[in-house]
Amino acid sequence: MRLLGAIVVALASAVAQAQEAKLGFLMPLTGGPGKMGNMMMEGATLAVEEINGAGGVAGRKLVLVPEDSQGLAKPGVDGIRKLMDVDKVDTIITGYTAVVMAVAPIAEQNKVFLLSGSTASSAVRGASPFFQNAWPFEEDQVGMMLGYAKNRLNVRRLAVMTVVSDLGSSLGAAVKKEWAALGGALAADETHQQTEANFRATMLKVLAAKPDAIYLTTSNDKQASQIVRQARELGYKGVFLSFGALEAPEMLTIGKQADGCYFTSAAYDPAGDNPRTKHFVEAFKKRFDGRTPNIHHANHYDLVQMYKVAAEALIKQGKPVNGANMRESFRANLAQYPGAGGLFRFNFADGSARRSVIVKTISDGKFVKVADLE
Amino acid sequence: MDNAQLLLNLALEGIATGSIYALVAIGFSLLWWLGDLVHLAHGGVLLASGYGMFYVLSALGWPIWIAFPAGIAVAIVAGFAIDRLIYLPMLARGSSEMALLTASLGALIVFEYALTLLFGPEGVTLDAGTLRTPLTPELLAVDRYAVIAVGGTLLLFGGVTLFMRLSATGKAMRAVAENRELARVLGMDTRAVYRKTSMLAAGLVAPASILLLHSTGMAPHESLHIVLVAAVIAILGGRGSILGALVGGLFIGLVESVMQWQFAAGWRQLVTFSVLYVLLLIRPQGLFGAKA
Repeated sequence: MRLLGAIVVALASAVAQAQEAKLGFLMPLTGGPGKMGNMMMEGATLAVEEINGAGGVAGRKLVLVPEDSQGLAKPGVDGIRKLMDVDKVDTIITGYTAVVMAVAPIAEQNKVFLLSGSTASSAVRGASPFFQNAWPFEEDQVGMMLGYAKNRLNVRRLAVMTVVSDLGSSLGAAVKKEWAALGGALAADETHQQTEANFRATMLKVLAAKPDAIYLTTSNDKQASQIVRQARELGYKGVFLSFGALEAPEMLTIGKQADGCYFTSAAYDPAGDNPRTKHFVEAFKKRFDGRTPNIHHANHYDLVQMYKVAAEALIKQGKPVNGANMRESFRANLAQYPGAGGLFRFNFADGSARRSVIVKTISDGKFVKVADLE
Repeated sequence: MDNAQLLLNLALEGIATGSIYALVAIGFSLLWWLGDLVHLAHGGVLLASGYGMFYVLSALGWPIWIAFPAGIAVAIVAGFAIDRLIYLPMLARGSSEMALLTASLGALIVFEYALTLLFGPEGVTLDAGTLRTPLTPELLAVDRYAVIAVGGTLLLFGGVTLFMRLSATGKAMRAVAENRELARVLGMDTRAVYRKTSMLAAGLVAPASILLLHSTGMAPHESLHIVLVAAVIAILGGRGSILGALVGGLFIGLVESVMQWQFAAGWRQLVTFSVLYVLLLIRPQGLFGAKA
C-alpha cells in the first residue's frame, strides 16, 4: 500500500510539474547591483501573480525560478547551468552585459531562449540567435543625450568617468566620439574599477579640470550615487549625465545631492495616460506598499507578459513550450509590444530593441521627465 | 586649482584614506603577530561592528555616543565568539595554520551571509553631512571628517603603543608573541593572553567601521576586499610592528591617491601593487618587521 501511495504521489507531482510553465530569472540578487536586480524581480513577480490570478498561461501555472548572477560572468554561468539542468527551464530573463556575453553561447548550444530588459551595451548585439534584448543600446542614445546637454543644459566642458567593463568601455568611447562630433571640449577622461567605492581622489582631479558636466558610465546605481555624493561634498555644482541605470532608489538616498542628474530612459511615465501603464502602476502600488514603480519594474513586468503571449500561442497550437519554439513564437507574435513601459519594437536580426527615448532628471527626491528625445 | 594644488590635495586625501586603512589593519596585524593567525574573519568583525552602529544610529535613532560603544561591543562579542567557537577548539586539536586560515575564511563567509540576511545585500551608508564640507576652497581634501580620521588614528595608534609597552596585559602579549613556549613554561596563561588579544583586535575595528560607514559605506560582499587591504598593509608594515601598520596604511593611501596625478584611477591597483612588489623585494620583512 505504501508503495502504491508513493507512486500516486510521484505521479501527481509529475503531472503538476508538467502543468507548470517555468520562467528562469537569472539576475543579480546580491552584490553591488543586487538591489537593482531585486527591484526588477518585483516587477516580474507582479506579472506572474497577475497571470496566475487570471488562470495562468493557457491554464498552466506560471512559476518564476530565480537564480543570482551577481551581475558577473562566473555566477551567471553557474546560474544558467542550474536553471537548465536542475530546474529544466528553457526560457530565461537575464541581463547585464558580462552575464549575457557569458551565458549566450551556452543558451544557444542548449536551445534556451534568453530575454533581457537590462542589457545596455551594444557588445551583445547579435550575441546569439537565442538572445533578444528589450532595452535599447545606450551607445545609440549617447548622441541624443549629449546634444540635449549642449543645447539645453549649456554644457561646454565635459568629463567622462569610464568604468572598466564591457558596457563602460563602449559607452565611454561613444561619449568621446559623439562629444567630439558636437565640437565640445573634453575636460577630463578618467577610468575606474567596477568595485571602486572611494572616488574622492579621482574627483579632485576631475574638478581641477573645471567640467560643466560629468558623464557616468557605471551601471551600478550604488556606485553612481557614491560618485555623485563625493563630488558634491567636494563642492561640484555642475550636472551629471548618464543613462537608465540612474533610475534607481539608491540615487534618491543621497537627497538633494542627486539634483542635477540627467539621464536618458525608455519612454515610461508612471504619471502618463497609457492605459497599460496606469493599470501596472496601480497594481504595483497596491502590491508593494504604495511605492511608485520605475522603468526597471515596468520592463520586467512587460517581459513576463511577453513570455505569456509567446507561450500561450504555442500551447494553443499544440506545440511544446521549449526554447526553440519560444524563440519562433516570440518572432511571430511580438514584433511590437505595447507594454506598461511603452512601445517595444524588436529587431530580430541582431537581437536589439528600439524604444522611444526621453530625458529624466532627479528633483526633490523624484525621477521627473524633462524632455522627449525621439 | 593648479597642478601643484592638485598634487597637494591628492596627498592630503591619501593621508586621510590611509589613516582609515591603518585603522582597518591594526587588529589584523596584532593577531598575526601575537597569535600566528591569518585572521581573515577580521573583515567580518569590521562589518558586524559597522552594521551594529548603523542599526543603532538609523533604526533606533540613538546618538553616536551610544552607537560607537555599541559598535565596539558588537566587535568584541564577534571577536570573542570566533576565538571560542573556531580558533580555540581547532588549536586544541593541533590544527595547522592552513586549517585555521580556511576556518577563518569560513567565518568571514558566515558573517557575510548573516549580514546579507539581516540587512539585505545592498550595503549601508550614512551621510557625514557638514563634516565633509571643505575647510578652505584651496584645500578641498581637508574637512572635519579628514581631521577626525587622521587625528583619531594617531591617537589610537599612540594609545595602543603605550598599552603594549606599559600595561601588564600589553607586556604579557609581547612576551607571548616573542616566545610562546617560554611564556608558558614561566607560568603565563597564554590562552588568556590570546583571548584578550582577540578582543582587543576586534574592538579596534570600531573606529574604522564608523569612518567607513560615513564615507564609502559598507556592504556584506566587501568583507574579503576589506581584509585583503588589512593583510597587504600588515605585510608591508612588517610583522610585529604597530608602527608598521600605521606607516603601511598611510603609504598605501598616499600611493593610491597621488598616482592619480598622472594615471587614471583604473590603474590604481596595478600601480599600488607594483610599488608594493618593489618594496618587498628591497625589504622582504616589511618596512618595520624584524629580519627572520
